[in-house]
Amino acid sequence: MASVLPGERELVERAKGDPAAFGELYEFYFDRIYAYVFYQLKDHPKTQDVVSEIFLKVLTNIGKFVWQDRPFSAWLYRIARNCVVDHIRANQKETGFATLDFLDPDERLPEEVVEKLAEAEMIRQLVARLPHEQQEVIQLRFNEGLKFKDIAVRQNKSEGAVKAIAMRALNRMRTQLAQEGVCWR
Amino acid sequence: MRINDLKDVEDLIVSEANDPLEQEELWNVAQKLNDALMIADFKTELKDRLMAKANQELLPRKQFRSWWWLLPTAAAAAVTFAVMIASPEPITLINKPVQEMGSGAQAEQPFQVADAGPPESSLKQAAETQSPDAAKAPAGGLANSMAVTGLAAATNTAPTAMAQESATPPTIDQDSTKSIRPQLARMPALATGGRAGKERAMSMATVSRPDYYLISSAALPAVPASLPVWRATGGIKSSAEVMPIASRFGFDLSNLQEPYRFVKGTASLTISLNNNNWPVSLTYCKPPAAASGPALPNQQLVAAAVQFADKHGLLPRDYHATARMEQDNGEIEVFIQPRLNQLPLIGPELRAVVTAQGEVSRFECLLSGYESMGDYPLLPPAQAVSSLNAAAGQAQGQERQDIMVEQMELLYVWQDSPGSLPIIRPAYRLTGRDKLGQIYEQVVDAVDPAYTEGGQG
Repeated sequence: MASVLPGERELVERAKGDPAAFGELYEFYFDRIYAYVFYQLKDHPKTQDVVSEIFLKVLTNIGKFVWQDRPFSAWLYRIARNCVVDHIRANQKETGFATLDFLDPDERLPEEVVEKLAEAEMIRQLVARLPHEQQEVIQLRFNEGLKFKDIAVRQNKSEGAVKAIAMRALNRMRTQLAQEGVCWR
Repeated sequence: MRINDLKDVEDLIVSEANDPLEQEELWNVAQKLNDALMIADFKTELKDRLMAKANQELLPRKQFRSWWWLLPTAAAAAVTFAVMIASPEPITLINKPVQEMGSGAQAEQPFQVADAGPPESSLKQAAETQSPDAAKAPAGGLANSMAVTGLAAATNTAPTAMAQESATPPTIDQDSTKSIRPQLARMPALATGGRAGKERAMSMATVSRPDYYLISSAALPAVPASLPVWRATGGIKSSAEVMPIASRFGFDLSNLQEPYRFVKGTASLTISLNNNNWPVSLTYCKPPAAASGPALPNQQLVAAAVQFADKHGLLPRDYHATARMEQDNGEIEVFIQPRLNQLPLIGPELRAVVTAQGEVSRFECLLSGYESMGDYPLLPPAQAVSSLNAAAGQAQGQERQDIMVEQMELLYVWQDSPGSLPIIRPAYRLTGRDKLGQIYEQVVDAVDPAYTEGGQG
């Protein structure tokens, strides 16, 4: 995963008035911001709330962003950090305590987070390479959250047949992930 | 966020795999898969939300700041206010289920390009969203070049200049495509790459193929040979026209706090007059009462927003209303998208914030009309298909011919035009997918490049 977005300065300037350019920034930074927030919060639902807030703030404020001697990512991570702090403080009111042990925005993401990012991308690519039948069952089960019996109804197959397809897909992915050197524990 | 219960997957693994190590590894795969797809799903969903917001906020930001999007029409506002004040007849409010709301609900005569059927996509959308009567509206026949939204009850009795624009619409010369027409400025690509931008190694097909090979599972849409290009008109031009609008919202001169800002109790209405040729904006705010009563379903909240717009004479004649961005407190944002020539108009939606109890706490729109700049020949859809690959290729710095177009839609796009009034022009929105399932979107000008400055636009 590239750590610097080529032509970022020009892209950021365009993003101030061009949604497509903003979309490119989003595509580049989403995984990093998600990983950064998840690293702090360790919880997907909370992470998604905060990540939504971060990108909405970026969208709202990108017109005010002025290039100085720091990269765009520093500004972005500063917003991310503030949103995480706000979230934890709000949580503190509810729970009575909070952990404010932060990863500094200027620090590099920890190796484990970088690996997770790469792994998630690899898994999405492996799914895209599954045979169509398996890909469909995996998407319905894991993406749409349908149970096997519901998938069977939708696909006009027996539940057993759907489960067999799902198992073949899981086994195939297990093999391929092992070939890619993914550590299971 | 959706929590995906993987109990049945766990059961499946336990029942099918005998070796505990194999079970553990498969369970690990399932969990990683679940996380990866869930995050990807969220990423796409968030991007859709952001892009919708960006399309409305970023493009016109320089001109419109917070009220950009809205464009109920000009004519509609002033004419309707004038009519409602003058007319002894009560105005009927819309109170229909959401599925009946949509373009044509108000339109006695839907806009239609003469002798040309609407595009397939718009017919399909119409079938989904229009009232039965509107959906059955005869194709062709009406050549109405003044795409005025608002109550169809508008008459030519309104005294304002704006009203006159709408009351006596110029008709399209059936042969107008042959007439002399000014060249349009080039339209920049509006959404290059869409969800593109992933750094992925692609095997490039370099074989030259006809464009129609790039179409998958979707036929090219049927489009008319030409469509009008519209210019947004400035709307209200004098302060005398503000009071009728304010009175429709229940304000009078005693509520005037500063020029064109009315405050009454907690409610406020701000109208900004025509400035540098830009249309007039209207913003109404009223903090909602303390929540009482049950939360209404979204359909009813959308209906409340439409009813509010209609009650204040701001409902486009032809429109499509949708709810977006539900808040934690049950508030929703309702966007009422005007339609021109039965095509969705992207950019200047009316926006209402509606509480869970159906109270409109904020309403924003532009008070603007449209005037036709004449019909312009359209680029045949088949010739626009390759632009999706071209744009993705340009964005990624490599040739692309592997993106299959799955959907192609003709629509209107609001385009700011520096130094002059905004232009509303037909465009194709293409959506496609590459072999890895990556989705791409692109909006390209639909006007024949021969009629656009600089040739190929």
